Amino acid sequence: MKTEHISFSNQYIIFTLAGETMGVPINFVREVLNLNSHNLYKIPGAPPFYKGVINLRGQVIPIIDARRKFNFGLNLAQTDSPKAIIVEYDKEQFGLVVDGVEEVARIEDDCIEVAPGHLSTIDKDRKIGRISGKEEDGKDRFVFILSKESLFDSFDKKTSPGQFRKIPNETLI
Amino acid sequence: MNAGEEYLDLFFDEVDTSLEALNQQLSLLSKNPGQVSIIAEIFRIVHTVKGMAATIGFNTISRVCHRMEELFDFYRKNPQEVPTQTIQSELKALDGLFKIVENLSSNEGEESSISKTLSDALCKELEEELKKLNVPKNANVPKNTKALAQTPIIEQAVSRERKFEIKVKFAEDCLMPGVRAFMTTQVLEKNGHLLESDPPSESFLDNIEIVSSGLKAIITSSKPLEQIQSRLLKISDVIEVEVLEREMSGSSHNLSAEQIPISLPITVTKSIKEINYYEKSPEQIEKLLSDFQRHEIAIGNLNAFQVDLVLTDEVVNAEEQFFNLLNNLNEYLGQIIYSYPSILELGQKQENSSEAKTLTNLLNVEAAKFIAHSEKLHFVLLVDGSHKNILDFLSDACELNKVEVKEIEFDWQKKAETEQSPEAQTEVKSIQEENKDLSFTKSGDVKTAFVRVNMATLESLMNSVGELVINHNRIKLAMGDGATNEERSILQYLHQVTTKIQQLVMSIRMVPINQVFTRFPRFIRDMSRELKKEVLLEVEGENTEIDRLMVDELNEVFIHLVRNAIDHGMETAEERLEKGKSKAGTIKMQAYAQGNNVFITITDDGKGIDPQNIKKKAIQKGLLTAEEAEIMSHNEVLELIFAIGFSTADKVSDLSGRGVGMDVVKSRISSLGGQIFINSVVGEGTSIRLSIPSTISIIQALLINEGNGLYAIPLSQIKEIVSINVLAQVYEIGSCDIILLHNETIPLIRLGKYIDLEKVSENNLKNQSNILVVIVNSEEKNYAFIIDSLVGQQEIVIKPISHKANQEGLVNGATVFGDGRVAMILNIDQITKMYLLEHESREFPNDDTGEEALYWASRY
Amino acid sequence: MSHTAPSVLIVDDALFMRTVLRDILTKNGYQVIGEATNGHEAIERYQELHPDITTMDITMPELDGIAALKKIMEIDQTAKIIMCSAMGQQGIVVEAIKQGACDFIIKPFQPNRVVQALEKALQVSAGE
Repeated sequence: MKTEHISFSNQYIIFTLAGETMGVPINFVREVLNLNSHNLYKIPGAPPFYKGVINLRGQVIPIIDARRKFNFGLNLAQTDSPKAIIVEYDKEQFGLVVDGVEEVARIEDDCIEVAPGHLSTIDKDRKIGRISGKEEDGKDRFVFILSKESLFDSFDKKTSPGQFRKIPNETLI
Repeated sequence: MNAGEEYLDLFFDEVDTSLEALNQQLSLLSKNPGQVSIIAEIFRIVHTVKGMAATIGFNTISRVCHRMEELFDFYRKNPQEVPTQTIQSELKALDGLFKIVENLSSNEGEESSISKTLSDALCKELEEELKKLNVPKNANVPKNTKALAQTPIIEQAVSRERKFEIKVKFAEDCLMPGVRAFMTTQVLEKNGHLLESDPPSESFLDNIEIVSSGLKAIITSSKPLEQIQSRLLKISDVIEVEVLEREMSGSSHNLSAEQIPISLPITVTKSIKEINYYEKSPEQIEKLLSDFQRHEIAIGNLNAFQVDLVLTDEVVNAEEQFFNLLNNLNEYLGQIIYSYPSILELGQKQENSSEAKTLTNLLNVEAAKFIAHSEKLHFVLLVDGSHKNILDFLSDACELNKVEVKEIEFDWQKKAETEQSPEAQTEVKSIQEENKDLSFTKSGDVKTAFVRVNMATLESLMNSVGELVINHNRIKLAMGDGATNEERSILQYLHQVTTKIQQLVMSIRMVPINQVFTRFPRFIRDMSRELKKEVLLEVEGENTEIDRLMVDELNEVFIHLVRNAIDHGMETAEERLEKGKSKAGTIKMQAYAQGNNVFITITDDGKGIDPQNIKKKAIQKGLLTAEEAEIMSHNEVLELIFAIGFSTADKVSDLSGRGVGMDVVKSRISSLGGQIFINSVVGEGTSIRLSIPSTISIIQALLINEGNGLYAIPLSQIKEIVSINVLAQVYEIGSCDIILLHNETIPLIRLGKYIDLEKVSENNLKNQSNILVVIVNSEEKNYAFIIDSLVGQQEIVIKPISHKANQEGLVNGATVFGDGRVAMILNIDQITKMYLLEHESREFPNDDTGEEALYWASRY
Repeated sequence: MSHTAPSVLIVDDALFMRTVLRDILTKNGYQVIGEATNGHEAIERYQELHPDITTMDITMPELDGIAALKKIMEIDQTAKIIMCSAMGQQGIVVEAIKQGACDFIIKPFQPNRVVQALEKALQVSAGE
């Protein structure tokens, strides 16, 4: 693990989600695949941002809807061909649904900073990274950096117990 | 001797088992400190561990064991109660051993300074205990007495009886020379009458001088001198025997008396220390070896032996004999590297020397020499075998007067063993493995042998079996109805075999939960002593089987839970008496299996958890606001202890401080696919209940359709599937529906409501005439689930689903079909709990309030 | 020349010890035909297999090596039994020798000593 961390450090998978550009550390990513909604199976009682599971070569992998998880761009249309970034956390694999995957980019630590207070970000770490000269006009490109933990932060308000504890209340007959 | 890496895993595995057993016995002993059988068992286990550790070269362990053993040896021989202090020291030593073993195992068998220091400290403490015993060392052994051997002296009644003086020398590195001396006298007794020995037999055992002084004995015997001599030489570690015949009338009782040898002494020496002129040093031999030979020696495939032999006088043509011998050796046994006289010279002397020429390139040319009678012949041989092979060969091949076979050890041989390059190491390993295989087939009849299997291997075997099952089902599906009878019967057979393999693999993995429980009597006693609380342990259902994979994980979890219970839950004896409770608290560990789950509860009768305290803490820590706390239910509050970073301890206790938090416990259990429930009543105690799958990775399941999805229900929980007439059999009680089936009222549950949140069914039951229900059993109660349709019964492979996505625990994993589809495996117990929760206890009064609370707890 | 490998029954409660011993013996041309983990098993296996040589651990559960030795010697006076002892068990070893054990080896096992003991044991014919 350690060597892997060193060799891949500062590399990020850059993806798009609801019109924004974001990055996840590459050492957190196992693979990227096309998501076919026909192959998604619902998990009863799962938190609402779980779209279901897929069968990835015999492994059952939960798929997280990044938009819902981060409450981000919910009203924007999804692409026709969503991708799933398969990430590993705590020895388990998860898929993160995003609109598109662009590239692998290098972002040095000193190019990552905390976003200004007024800017809304996707997670509480509020990190943004700068990739030099990537925009069409040669300007630097800014991406939201998604930390590994933010996907599974159990104290995130949106995943607090209260929300999905509710049991449907309609009567049987 | 360093047994090497090949044994390390085996060692750690077995030593662990032994230490666990020791742990158990020590616990028993503390309850019955005088029980001889326990003391004997402890002695035995410690002894075993000592032996293993010494064999593999772990002195840190064997030293400690040795002292533990000495202590128990005393109590074994002097039956009495073992003092508490001694048991404590032994327990401490055991703890230390666990640590040392752990340390060794994490250091890949390297003894670190930590383990050495620890070992020293433990030895010291045990020695203190030993001193108290005042073991009478050698107390009853008279020293320096030349007493007569106890054998009655029978004077030479038989005419042919002769008297011999015998001097025996033992190898310098002889172990237990006293016993060797004893064996010598045994042999002498068998072959005659032992009159006297020096040193006297009573002092053999403690006399280490025997190695340097040897043993002198006077015997009378009717047997020939040579026979006695050769028999004595067959005693291990006896290297030299000198037999002198003495006059019968001589002063037989005084060895220092003037000796008049009648016959010349025949001395057979088996250790030739002096290097003869024709002998070559290992360095010289080494130069004669090819690279390949060196390599083979380094990895232990070949051994180099130096052989000295003297042919009998009867041999007519010694040169020819030796030449033929060398040729035969070369052909049948090994490779002659060097000989004296040289084989080449010998060959030239032979009429037909063609054979010899083929050997020329192998051999070193030495000066020609004729072999005189009784001259020593010498050669160096490489063989894949032992002394024994050579000796056997030689004794069959020629008439020998004397032979000595000595293994040559090269300097680099040892180095090579320890400092091999990685490639070389793997090569050695594979060769050793080949050897193992060989030995296995040779000893094919080893019925009691066990093969230790790496858990990862077993896991992958299990997965492969899973694939087998899936593919079996695929074939079945693909063949469909058009299958011929033959195809069907093959499929049937395939099914049988697959099932059998599955069962076998499963049975290999399952172990009784006792493996986890056995640690606890001791753990609880230690803790209660340290915290000055009195705690009893009750264990139930220790034979419940769990997956071996879960043992370690569960162990840590239990340690934490039990520690919490004693540290935070239990009152002191005084407090308990004040409250009118029994002086000693009780911790109950219960396990039972139901369906595919194992339930384990850890209950204490301590002070319970005060929800107010938890609320305060949680607010303090910013986990929730005062307002939120206000509206939380009792169980919601209790569940807060599972929140990350939460701890109820008012002070950081030494014992609990090093543990993990309850949040970690929860995540551990989740990662096993299990759930954790808590119930606590202030003043009465706390109960933690775990539900974990017994990881029967392949189960029989009923596949059903409900809503838009395909689901699996474990067959073990299904009682029956019936079609119910709504009008006739469904009743409404309060907000609930029940059905009447076989005169039993069974709650009717719409499955879709709990598992398919999107499909809020508008279907009104009353619009249907018949509904399909599955009667399932959960926690000994029956429930009827309404389902859309049945798909069939099938064997499925359980694939885990991350707890993060399955926080409600409504499923117990998923299964994957041959066509790629996925079906969720329903957790019936959890669904019924949600149902009960929703309808509270009004309709289904539950006499057990604890259970009730658990249902609540199970919601998260 | 015919070399039928001498057959050995290994008796030791520790799998580890049995493995070490088995490896030593098989590498040196012996044939391990059986293993037993306690005295009772040892007796059973002995009767069943009639090995040329038996190596017998002393401290074992259920029935110890000395008791098993006595029993086996009762059954077969020519039995060749080598006791496996640890340092410090001299008294017991002597007892074993008295009971008819032909030799002893000491843990930790040194291959050459083990082999030597077995060779010697094989050389001694019954009653000698």
